[in-house]
Amino acid sequence: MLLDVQNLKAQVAEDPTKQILKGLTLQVKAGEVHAIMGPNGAGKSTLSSVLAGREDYEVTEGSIQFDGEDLLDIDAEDRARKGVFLAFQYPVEIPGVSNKLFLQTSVNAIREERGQPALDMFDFDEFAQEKIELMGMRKDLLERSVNVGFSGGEKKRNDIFQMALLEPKLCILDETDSGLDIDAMKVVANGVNSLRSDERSFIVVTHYQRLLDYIKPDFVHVLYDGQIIKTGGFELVHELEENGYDQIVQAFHAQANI
Amino acid sequence: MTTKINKPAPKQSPIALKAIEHYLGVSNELMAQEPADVQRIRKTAQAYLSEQGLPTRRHEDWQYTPLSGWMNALQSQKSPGVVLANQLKDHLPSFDCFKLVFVDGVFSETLSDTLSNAPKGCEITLQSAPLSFQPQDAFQALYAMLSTQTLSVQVQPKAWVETPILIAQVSTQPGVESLGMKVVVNEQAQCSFIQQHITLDNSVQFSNGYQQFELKEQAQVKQYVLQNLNGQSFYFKNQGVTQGKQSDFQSFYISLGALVSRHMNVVEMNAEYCETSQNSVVLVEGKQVCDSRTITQHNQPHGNSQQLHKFVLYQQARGVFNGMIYVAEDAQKTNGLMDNKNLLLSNEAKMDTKPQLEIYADDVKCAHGCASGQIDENQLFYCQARGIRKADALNLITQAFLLEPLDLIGSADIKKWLTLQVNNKLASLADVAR
Repeated sequence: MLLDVQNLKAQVAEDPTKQILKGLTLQVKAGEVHAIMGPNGAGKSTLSSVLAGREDYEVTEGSIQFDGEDLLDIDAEDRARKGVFLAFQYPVEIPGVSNKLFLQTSVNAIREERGQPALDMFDFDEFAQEKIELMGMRKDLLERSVNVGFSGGEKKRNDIFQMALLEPKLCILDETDSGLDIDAMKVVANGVNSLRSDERSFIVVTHYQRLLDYIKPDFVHVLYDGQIIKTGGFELVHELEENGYDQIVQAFHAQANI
Repeated sequence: MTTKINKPAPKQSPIALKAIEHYLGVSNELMAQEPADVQRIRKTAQAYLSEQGLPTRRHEDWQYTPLSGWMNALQSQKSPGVVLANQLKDHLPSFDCFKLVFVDGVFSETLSDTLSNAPKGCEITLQSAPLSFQPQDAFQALYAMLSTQTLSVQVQPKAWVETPILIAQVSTQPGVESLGMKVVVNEQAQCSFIQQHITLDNSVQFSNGYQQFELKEQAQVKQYVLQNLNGQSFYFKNQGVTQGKQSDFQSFYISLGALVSRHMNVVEMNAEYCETSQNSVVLVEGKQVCDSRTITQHNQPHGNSQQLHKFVLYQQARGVFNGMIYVAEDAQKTNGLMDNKNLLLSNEAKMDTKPQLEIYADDVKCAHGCASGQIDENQLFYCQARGIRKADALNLITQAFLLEPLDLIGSADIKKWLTLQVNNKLASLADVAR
C-alpha cells in the first residue's frame, strides 16, 4: 500500500467550527490511478492540501500512512522529498525567481533526499530538455519568473512539467483541468499518461469527466460532505455525467438514516 | 528645494543645541589655519546652521529620520589611521577599477592609483576646501563646515571611460568623514563611479557627503553607491545632479549598513530628452533605519525617468522612502515612473513611504506606486511542496525580491559584485528571519 488514509478528519486551522473532512478513508496501491469527484464544497481541495501538508488545515483525527511512514508527522517539504507531489489548482507566481532556478533548486532538493549528487546548471539543462519536449512547453518559459505572466494553461503545464522532473511516487492533481481548453487538457493528460508506471500512483481531483476520459482512472470515488460515499470503476464517471450527484447523495442520506 | 532658508528655525532641544555648539567648535578649529575664501564658505554654513538649527521630528522631511542617536554621539575631526592594501582586498571589487581610497577622510596615496595616471579623458584632482554653495539643509551646512577634502573629476568631451572610478571611503576610528565630490562629464562623454563606504572597526562614523554631478549634452554617467558602514554609524549623503540635453544618468544606492542612514538624490533634468534612472536596494536589520529619497525635476520636454526602490526589513528595522516627481509646465511628453516595494520580514519592522507627483504640464505619463507586505505564504508553500526547505524558500523569495533593481545594471562585473555583497548580508541574516 502506497497511501493509506484512515478515518481522516480535518478542520480549518483558524476556525475549528469548520470541519471539512469528516472521516475519510482511501487506499491507493502503487501504480493505481484514483479519481476523486464531487460537488463544490465537498472537501476535494482540502484533501489535496492535507495530503501535501498545507498548514491551513488541522487534522483532528485519523491517520495517513505513506510508503510505511506516518505522513502527518512530516513537514510539507519532507513530504515532497519523499515523493508526494501536488499539482496546484492555482499554481503560485513567484516574481523574480526564474523558473529554471526554481526547478533546479527543487530537483536538487529531491536528489539530496535520494542520496544523488546535485545537478549543476549544465546537467540540469540537459535533464530539463528531455522533459520539456514531453510537455510541449515553450523553452522561454524556463527563463521567465515562476508562473509570472503565464497563461492559465501554461501554469498548469508548468506544474505537470515539474511533476515530470521530480519523478514522485504519488501525484496529486488538484483540479488541474479547471479552466483549461481542450488542447491544454490533452497536454496535461498526455503528461500524466506518460508518467504512469507500476511504481507511481495518481490521485486526480476533478469536477469534470473530460480529463478522466483521457486518463482512464482505475478507481473513481465520490467525495461528499467530507467523506467518500461511493467508489467504483471508470464506468462511475459516465454515470455521474448522466445523472449528476443527486442520486448518489440521496442514497447516501437514506443509508445514513436507517 | 523643499527646504526654504527663510523658514523660522524650529525650537531646538538641549541636545540639539549641544550638537550645534559642538560642530561649530570643530569647524572653528579647522578654520583657524585656513585661507580667507575657505573661511567664507565655512562661515556661511555656520550662519545657516546657527539660524536654522537642526531638523526636528516635526519637520515634514525629517519626521521619519531619527537624529537623537546622532546628536548623542558627537564626533570630531580625525587624523588618518594606517590601512594596508591587503586589509581592503576582501572589501574592494576584484575587477579592474581606477582606485581612489580615502582613509579616515584623507586621500591615501599609497592605497590609491596615481592621479596622473587617471583613465584617458579623465582629469582627477583633490582640493582641501569644501565646495562652495548655499546650504539648503542642516547636513549640507555641516558638510560645508567640516569637509576638508573635495574630489573633482572632469571628463573630456567624447571621452568614453571604460574603467569604473572607484571611490572607497575607509575608516579605522571614530570621527567625522565629510568628502565632497564634484563631477563634470562633458559632451558625449561616458563614465561610471563606484562609491564604497567601509568601516574596518566598530567605532561610530559620522559620514556626511555632498556631491554634484553635471552632465553636459549626451553625457552618460552610471553611479553605484554601496553603503556598508558598521551598525553604530551614521550616514548622510546629499547629491545634486544637473542634466543637459539627451544626457543619461543612472544611479544605484545599495544600503546595507549604518544605524541611521539618509541618502538624498536631487536630479534636475534641465534640457530635452534626458534619461534618469534612480534605484535603491535596502537591506536592514535590528534597530537600523534607512531613508532613501529622491527629487526628480522634469524641467524640459521628452524627459524619461524611472525609479525602483526596494527595501527588505528584518526585526525592528525601519525603512523610509520619499520620492517626488516634479513636472514643470514646459516639460510636455514627460515619462515618469516611480516604484517603491517593501518586504517586511517581522511584525516589528516598519516602513514609511511617500511617493509624490507634482505635475504642471498637461501631456505627460507619470505613475507612482508603493506596496509593502510580508512574505507571501502561498509562495512559501509552493516552494515547500517542491521539496525546498522553508528557510531556503524564504531566502530564495527575499533575494529575488530585493535584487530586482540590480537587473538594470549593464556591466556584468559590477552587477555580479553588488549581487554578491547583498547576498552575503542576506546569508548572514538567514537565522534572524526564522
